[in-house]
Amino acid sequence: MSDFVIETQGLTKVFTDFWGRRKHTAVKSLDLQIERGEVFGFLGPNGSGKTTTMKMLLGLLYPTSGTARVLGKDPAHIGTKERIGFLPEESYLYRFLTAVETLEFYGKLFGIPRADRKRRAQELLEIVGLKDAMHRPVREYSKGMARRVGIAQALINDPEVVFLDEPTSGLDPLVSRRMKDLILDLKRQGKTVFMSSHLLADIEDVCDRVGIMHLGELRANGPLRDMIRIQDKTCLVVHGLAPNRRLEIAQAIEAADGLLEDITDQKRSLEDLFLGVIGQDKEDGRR
Amino acid sequence: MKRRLEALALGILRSPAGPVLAMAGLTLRESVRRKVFLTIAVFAVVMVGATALLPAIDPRDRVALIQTWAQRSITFFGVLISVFLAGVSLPEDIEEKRVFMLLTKPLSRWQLLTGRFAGFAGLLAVFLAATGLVSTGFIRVVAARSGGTISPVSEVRALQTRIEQEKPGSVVTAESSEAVPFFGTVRGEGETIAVWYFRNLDPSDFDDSVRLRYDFNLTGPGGVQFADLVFYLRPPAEETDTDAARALGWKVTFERQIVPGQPLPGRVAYRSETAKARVPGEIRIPKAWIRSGSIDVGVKRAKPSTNLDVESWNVSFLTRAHSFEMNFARGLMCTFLMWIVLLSITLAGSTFMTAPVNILFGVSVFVMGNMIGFIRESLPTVDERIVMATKADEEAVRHGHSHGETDDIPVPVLKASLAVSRAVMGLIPDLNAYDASGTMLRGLDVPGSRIRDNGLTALAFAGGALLIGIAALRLREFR
Ligand SMILES: Nc1ncnc2c1ncn2[C@@H]1O[C@H](COP(=O)(O)OP(=O)(O)OP(=O)(O)O)[C@@H](O)[C@H]1O
Ligand SMILES: [Mg+2]
Repeated sequence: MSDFVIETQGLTKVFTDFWGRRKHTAVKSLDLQIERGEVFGFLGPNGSGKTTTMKMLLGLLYPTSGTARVLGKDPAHIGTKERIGFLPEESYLYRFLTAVETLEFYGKLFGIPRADRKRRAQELLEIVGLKDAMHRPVREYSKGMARRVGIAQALINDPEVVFLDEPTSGLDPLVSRRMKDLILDLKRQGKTVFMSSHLLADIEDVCDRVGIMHLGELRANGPLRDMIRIQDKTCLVVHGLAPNRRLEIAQAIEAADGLLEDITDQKRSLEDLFLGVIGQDKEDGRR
Repeated sequence: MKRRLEALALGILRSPAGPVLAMAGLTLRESVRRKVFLTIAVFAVVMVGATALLPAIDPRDRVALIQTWAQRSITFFGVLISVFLAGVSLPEDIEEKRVFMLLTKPLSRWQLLTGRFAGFAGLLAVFLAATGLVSTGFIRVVAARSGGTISPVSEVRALQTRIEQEKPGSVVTAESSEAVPFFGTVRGEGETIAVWYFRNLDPSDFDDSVRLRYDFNLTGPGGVQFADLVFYLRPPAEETDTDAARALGWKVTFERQIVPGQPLPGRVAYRSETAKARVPGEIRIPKAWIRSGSIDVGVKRAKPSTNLDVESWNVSFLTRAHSFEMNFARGLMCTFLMWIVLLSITLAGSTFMTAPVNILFGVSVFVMGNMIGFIRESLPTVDERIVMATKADEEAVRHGHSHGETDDIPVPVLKASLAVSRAVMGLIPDLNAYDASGTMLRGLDVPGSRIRDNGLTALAFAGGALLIGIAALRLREFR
């Protein structure tokens, strides 16, 4: 058909009540095309239909109308599931299993041989920083720790396409940073990432392309860089400029027919500050 | 060798059975972690301990009582597992959204359901093995200490039963084959005799003296308790008044004619026996007499004052005693099949019902399944009513009466209700049919044919229920 990894046409979901009466249109005639190797950010306010779309792409919900294709097949196709990974909004885990057991169980569902399964589980636990707690039952985990098990299980099969529903929610800034690095890693390996979030900074950090949902409709869709660039504004970042020499710069800009709006000190992001303060300690004694 | 095993394990893991087994393993592990096995162990101890509270009665009966108690309580606990544990597992996965993680993996919906099924069936098997072993051991000890014997025997039924008149020229008044249940009564002054025709005896099943079991219902004025009965047999021609026959209480003569139309003089062996109403008794015959595999057993009343009810099962041969352990295991096997039926039905229900609704459903199936046998038995009465009502209608038409005058239920309504109830009842498994404790309590073997029949119905119900469950699960969305 086409070589889009994810493709929807007129995808619509109407939630009905027990008697089949229409209650709510969660997704309206959605057309999406995502190419191999893209990191796609799916944005939108609460209740705009992000999770509903993702569930249709995963075969958990059936579309009311329209079609969805993942890797060229119907989302319900079992062969497709071998090649995808999914991190739900929250981690829904078996509380009586430990982190290792959880990963090995999911590994078994993929038919991964025992030795590979064990190795892969260890690797992933290392990546998400759960090595020390891996033999404790998930019941005892904090929200963020459970979330990290969720991330690890989404990658157990080394998937080609990864669906991440709010991947950074509930994570501390360090793990959140690591999550974003992980996404960039996946991109480098040529994998496709479909992620939803309303943490705009996160999307900005990792996504190539974004779509913005509102009330079930896709309101904007395009390459992130183009979309946030303001055509006729230019930003200069200057190092080592003495404060008393700023005036000269302003005059030079005016002479070139530019309109100077503001001159400020560059700030680092709070994230960078936080990581600077906390990061080093945490790097040694990972929880 | 090791490499071949590994290759085999990998093959299974990659096959469609792989995810099913993974799900089954998860189910068992969940049971371990949730202390189900601990509860089972505690249960086994309590079950055995509770027998101390059973009334102190004659040792033989005590063993039977303990056996019944053990079987009933094991059955019930297994029912609890099938309904309360199995019935909520899938609804919990759905409610707590773990199913999102499962179904986005290469785990088909049919594999999810059959995996759960396999897991719980395994759990039930472990439970059965554990409690079965504990209670068998315990019963052995009790039996040894009280000197009771607990070896069950198999019963061989007559191929045909008849009531005949012992007068020249008389005809058979009633008869049956094994397939058709027989019921008749020997009554009145006439020289009437009831005869059971055995054609299917295998001499190697018997000891040197063959055990003949009888159990009669006696009726008559003033509530009859005892009756003197005379048993007649026709031994093979070369068998005469041997020591063996005399030692077992038989007299062999040439004079008596028992059944009209038989060549005279008939060689006849006979002996008297005082039978208690509804209390089984036993007499023995020499093994040589059944060498050909067939023999006819006639029973007559010594005095015509009592009536003798005659059914196919009143007289039977008992084969050599089997081991108690084997038989208990066979009885528990039937129980296991009942659990499988219940388990598959609750699992099927759990694909579209919430946990509490499904528990109610499972309990209802269990209760109805235990009553359905009795209800089915009453259906022939409705059949009779239809026949009678049809006749009455025809009469009415012939005599020019209109339909409306009869206050009976109209035939079409009766027929429709019968058809509906037959259909509905076909959907409900007869769970009593899987309860072998009655047979075992009577000291009888649970026949292999029964296990086979139970196995087939269980297979049909489990297969049907799981298919319905899979269909429901495939239609389902997970919000
Ligand atoms: N099971 C359901 N029944 C009825 N309506 C539902 C159901 N699930 C979701 N909805 C509705 O569909 C809309 C979209 O929900 P969805 O979960 O897709 O939003 P979302 O974009 O993921 O929001 P959030 O950012 O809060 O996660 C919401 O208005 C919600 O109320
Ligand atoms: Mg959401």
